Amino acid sequence: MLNVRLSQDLLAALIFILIGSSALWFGRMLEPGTSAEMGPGYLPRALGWLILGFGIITMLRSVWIASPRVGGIKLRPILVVMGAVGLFALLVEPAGFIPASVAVVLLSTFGMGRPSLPYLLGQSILLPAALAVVFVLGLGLPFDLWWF
Amino acid sequence: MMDLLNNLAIGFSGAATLENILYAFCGCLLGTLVGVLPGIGVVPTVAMLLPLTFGIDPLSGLIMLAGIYYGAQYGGSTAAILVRMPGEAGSIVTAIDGYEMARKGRAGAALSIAAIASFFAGTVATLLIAGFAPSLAKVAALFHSADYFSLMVLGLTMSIVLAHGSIFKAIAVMLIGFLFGLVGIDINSGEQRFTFELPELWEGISFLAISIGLFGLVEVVRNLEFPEPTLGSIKTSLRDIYPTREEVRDAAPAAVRGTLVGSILGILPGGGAILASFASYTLEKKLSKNPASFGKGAPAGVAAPEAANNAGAQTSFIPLLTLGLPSNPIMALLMGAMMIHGIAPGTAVISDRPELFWGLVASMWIGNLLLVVLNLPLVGLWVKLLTISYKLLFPAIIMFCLIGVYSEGGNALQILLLGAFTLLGYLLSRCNCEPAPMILGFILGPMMEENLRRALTVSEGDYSIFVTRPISLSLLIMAVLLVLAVTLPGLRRSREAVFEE
Repeated sequence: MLNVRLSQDLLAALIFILIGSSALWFGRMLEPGTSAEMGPGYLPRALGWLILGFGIITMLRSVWIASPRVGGIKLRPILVVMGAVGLFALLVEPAGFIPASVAVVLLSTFGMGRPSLPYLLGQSILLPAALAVVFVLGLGLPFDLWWF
Repeated sequence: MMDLLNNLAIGFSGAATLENILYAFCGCLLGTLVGVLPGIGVVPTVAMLLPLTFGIDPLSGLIMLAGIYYGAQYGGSTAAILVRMPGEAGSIVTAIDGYEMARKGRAGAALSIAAIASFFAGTVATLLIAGFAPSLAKVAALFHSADYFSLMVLGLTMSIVLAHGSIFKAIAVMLIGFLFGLVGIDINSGEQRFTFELPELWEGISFLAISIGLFGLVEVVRNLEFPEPTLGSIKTSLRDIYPTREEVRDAAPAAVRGTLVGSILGILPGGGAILASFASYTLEKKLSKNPASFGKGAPAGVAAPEAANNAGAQTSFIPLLTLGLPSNPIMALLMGAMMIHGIAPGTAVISDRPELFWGLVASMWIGNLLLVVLNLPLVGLWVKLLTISYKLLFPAIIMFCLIGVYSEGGNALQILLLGAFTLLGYLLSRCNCEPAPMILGFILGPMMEENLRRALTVSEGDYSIFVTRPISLSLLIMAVLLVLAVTLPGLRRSREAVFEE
């Protein structure tokens, strides 16, 4: 459990500021052009400044107007889901669909506390098999089942 | 009138082939199946099942999608009635009286009232689409790029106004979506924007990665974080699916009024099912001779919002199909799907691909019919599904999301983006920011850029073009009025009250 003491508005402001300023930084080489002849950087720059501006105003507002705290974040669910996504991205091409989905399902069974053995085994054997039959063999989605 | 009949005939000849009815059937069945499952709302259902339609031809794909959409909504109201668990905002109101009816042992009647009211509303709304869409498309043909830009501004304003939480944060979230929409090769200059030299990003961020991340996986995380207690067995009698005479007398006029309210609110950009169901419930309560019965199992309290909900859901196709303007996140998803199928929604759909447009309209009616035929006999099955524990489901949901994103482009980088959007969406949800404006900004962003560029090229860089063209000016005034309406104190309170309920 991660207890975030920031207020909701302040966290939102930080996210906006981060995204706005990265847009400005990574888009700095794009040609803005003029209003009559908009270059590729015209809108990215405008949006970057707008998002940054909204972020700063939200931050100032969070000082004046109290908003509730973000509060406790349970780490297990978000880490498990993000981890599952990461595993799939890493494994699906080199190892194939079945190993990747076994890894994903195995990890996700830990999403709701410690899994019992039958639940863990049942999920990680039956689910990948069923998915492979339906999606890859049945619907013909472009997955390789194995690494060979 | 003859035109209308001719057009509908074209539509039915396209949609009523055995193959397409089969697709509509599969769509309805899958949609209901996933919609009924606990903890999965309509938007995630549609987002997850979208990829199933990619392999088939555009008309069949759209027919199946529309089926998934209606099915998911239907499944949502079934869950609302039987266990008071509205899958989405549109069936929150249904849950009030529907569940009370179920507790009185009238669950079967409540379900059939909901189904028949929805079917009636769907039929009327289909006719409305067939009648109005072509004339609206003619109006849309007068639009120049400046007007289109202002129209999209209005659409985005609607999405912001309807989002929960502060309007201020909703605008910022929408702008972020707009920014993400610009990633990839700029079609005008051919230059790469925010691609970090990665060829996988040349075509931009995958629409599925952002929508499945924000709506699908964020929901999984939230459900794991705050698990709902698993339901025990449901003890309601489902044998009497026939409503009594009094129930019919109460429900029938309510369904008609609900259909009207829903159809009107659905056409408004940003309106759609949610607003429609709330408005019609309030209206029925005001008109009723016996307002005290509402909240205690009034059949009118089920019929009106269900009819309104379905009519609104259907007429919200009108702005999408005629103007290319998605009015809510689901329409944004369908628009994304149409673009993946190689169809640009907008005026051109009716004139260039009449068989597609009318086929889709006809399939809406077929889908509604199938739902009634399919669902009432299958209620027993849906009840069993409702009691499945989330613990068994969520690994499969995660896998569906991953397969969906990967199967579109076969691109592992988009999977990593899916993870990034999940994290972003989760953090934003903890800051009380809704993701819907981000999706609309993402979808509309590139089109807005294109229209802005064209309008400003015509006016030689003069921004006054947006206020000198009457169409554009009136659209912008509407947008300003909307923002004023929700920021003015009196109305603001009532808006908050609606979201509190």
